[in-house]
Amino acid sequence: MSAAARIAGALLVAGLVAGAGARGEARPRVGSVLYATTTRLYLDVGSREGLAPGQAIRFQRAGSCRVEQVSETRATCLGSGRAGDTFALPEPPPPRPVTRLPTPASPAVLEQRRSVLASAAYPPVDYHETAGGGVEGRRGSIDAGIRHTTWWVSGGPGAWNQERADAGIRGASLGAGFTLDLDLSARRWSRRSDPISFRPDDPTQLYVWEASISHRNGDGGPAFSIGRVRPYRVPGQVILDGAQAGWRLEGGSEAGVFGGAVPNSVTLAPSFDHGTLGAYWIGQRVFETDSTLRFLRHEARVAFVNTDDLGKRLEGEALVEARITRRLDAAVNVRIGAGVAHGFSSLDTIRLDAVRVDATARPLDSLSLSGSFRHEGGSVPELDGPGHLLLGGEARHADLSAAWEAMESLRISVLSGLSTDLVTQKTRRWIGPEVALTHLLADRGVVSLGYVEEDGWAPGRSAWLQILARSQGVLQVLARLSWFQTSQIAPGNLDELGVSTSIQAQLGPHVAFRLSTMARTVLNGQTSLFSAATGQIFVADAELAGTF
Amino acid sequence: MSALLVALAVAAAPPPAPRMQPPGHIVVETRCEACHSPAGWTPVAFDHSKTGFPLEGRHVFASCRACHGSSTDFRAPVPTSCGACHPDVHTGEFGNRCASCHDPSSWATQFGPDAHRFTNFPLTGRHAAIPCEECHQNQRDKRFTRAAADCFACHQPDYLRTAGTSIDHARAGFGTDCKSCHFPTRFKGARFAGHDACFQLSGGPHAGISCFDCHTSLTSFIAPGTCMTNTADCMRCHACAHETQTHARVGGFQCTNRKCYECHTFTAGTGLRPPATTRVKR
Repeated sequence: MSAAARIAGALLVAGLVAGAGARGEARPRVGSVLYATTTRLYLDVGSREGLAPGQAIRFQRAGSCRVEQVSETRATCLGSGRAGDTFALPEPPPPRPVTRLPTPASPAVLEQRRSVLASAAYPPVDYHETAGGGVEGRRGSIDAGIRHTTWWVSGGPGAWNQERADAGIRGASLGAGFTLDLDLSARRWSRRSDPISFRPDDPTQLYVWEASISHRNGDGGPAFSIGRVRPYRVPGQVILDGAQAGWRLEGGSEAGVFGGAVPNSVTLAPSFDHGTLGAYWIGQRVFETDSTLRFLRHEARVAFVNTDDLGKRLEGEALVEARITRRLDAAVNVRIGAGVAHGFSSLDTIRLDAVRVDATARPLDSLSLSGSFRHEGGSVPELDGPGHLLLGGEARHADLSAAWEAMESLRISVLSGLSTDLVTQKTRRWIGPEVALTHLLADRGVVSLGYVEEDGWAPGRSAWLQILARSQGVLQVLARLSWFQTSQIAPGNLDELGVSTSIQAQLGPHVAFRLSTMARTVLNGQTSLFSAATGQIFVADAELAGTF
Repeated sequence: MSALLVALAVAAAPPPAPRMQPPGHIVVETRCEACHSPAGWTPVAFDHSKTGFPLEGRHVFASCRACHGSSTDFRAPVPTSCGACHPDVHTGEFGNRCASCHDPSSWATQFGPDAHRFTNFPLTGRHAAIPCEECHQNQRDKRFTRAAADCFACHQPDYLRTAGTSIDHARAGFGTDCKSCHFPTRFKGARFAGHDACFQLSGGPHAGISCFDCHTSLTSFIAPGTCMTNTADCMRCHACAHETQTHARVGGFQCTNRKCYECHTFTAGTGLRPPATTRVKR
């Protein structure tokens, strides 16, 4: 660069500096919140505008905070508020007395200093992921909660009460790349009355879904889990007392085997009546944002399964999920099973155990379509109620919904679906509109009104009014008024009116409280909501949960 | 003047060396304050809503690397589907549309009796106030497939429990379609729709009365609806003295149960209606 060009550039910089100083005189005396978390606000002004740590700020709309840290042009503040909130700035500090700067060092001295700095050695500080970070580098978390639930029915033998404690540990580091996963629940029925279908003789119940030690490195290499394992992304595989071992490739793909005894489906007690042995493949890839295919996930399982109800079987299952541009998300899951007889010499009763298709499309920015199809072939029988229809469960289900955001705060939807029980050939269908006002109360409220017409073996209709209000991660309140009419499910038409509420309060970064209630009364043609011929029900659920 | 001095200093200085990025930061801008605060390099704050994936609920508290992995290139695309990060405890039954039942604030389900209406089994009456596991007993797979929408599939024990009671369903020949007689609120207070063919109970003066207000026994039924029980006891409520007086002009009147039924069925179309002066002995 020539000397003339440097001088011209310097003059330009001088002009800019002088101009900036002039603009500083006219700076408005208002600050605002750039970004907000649940506890901390980030302000667009700093000490230059007179902020100092400990200073109290009251927002012009509502809320306040106390200044935590201050830089020259930015500050953090502890309190409540949201992005965009403004506040009046305090009077600027008095101008400092002008001090004359010392004469700049000579170019030779500056050059000497620069060369010293340039030649100084400094160790690079690189990030190293902690080994075995659970799901793609997760550092581990602990979830715990205590909960009470009451079910009450008028005219019945009395309320049912349950207290429970839930705990979960996800990817907690044990050192040397090993992690611990736990998922368990302890429940106590403090009150139940006959008839009881589910474990009537066990008022105290303990469920352990997961208690495993794993080693799974995001950079690849051997991966395994042992204990009561919830097999990592093996499609359709239930929990097992055994092990999963595989080899992980860079990028998250993994192949391996798994095997073990499958716990009892009702009590989760260890059981050797049901076992499995198989192999799996997991693949997942994220493509560049400008490619047509944005995301592809593919998983597969092939397993030999021995159950006490279905006998020996071979099962194969595959799952493919894809995101195509930003307009379409689709997933397909297929499971096929075949009975094994005579020492694998023949396969019989090959059946389609399950087909599941999910798709969400957004052909326009204001229009979204979502649909699914399910065929459940009943390969996983369920002890369903006291009737114990072991081989039941064959069913088909499909739904399709469309939502049009007609305006910024108005969404019009159509909900529809059908469900068929292939055992009894009973079908229900439903379709209806829902209108929602989505950005009320400064983006904090949603009101929706819906109606659905129902057809099939239990025809009827439903209508609801729902109000949702929330305060950015701190408090969420939902209230819903519902009306239902059902025919052919009783000697006469059944009319029901219901009210449900749900409150979720984040008491702090780690503790949340949830309370939900639901009350219904059966009108049944009565004019009085609480006459003797009607029935009332009430359900309340309270939970204190912590995440650490 | 000071500006001019600064300008001259800049002009005199050699061109600056390219600014070095912190190790691993594959970013083009160096506006540190966009993410970092004066408190230190951590914690890091970033307006994630600008990425098209606003951090809501528990996601606010997730560490960056929980989703972005070990890479420091935060512009590299990250899958946004739930299943890309969260293992599916439902073994695939509900696909990748977690938001149908869960919201980002917790894994506690938002699916309740109202939502159950969009299945093959609407939860009516008492069914809306029983724990899920009373019907969905499988705790292992966290699946919710139903064996059948048929009443009897769950209520077979209740049907059998009537054995030995005054309304022995099996001996009386009642069918297993519970909803033809019972409301889903409670078993008591059942209606027998077929009864109208013999004697109207769905309306009229006898609407709502219970079986044993009239019948001395239900176990001698030949078959429900045949109108041949011979167990109806009209005189339990209708006093002979009063009925004899009010039927003084009715030829052939006798104060016996069978005689009442020969005229009074209260069934639509018979033309017979209860006398206006009927009084009931209690």
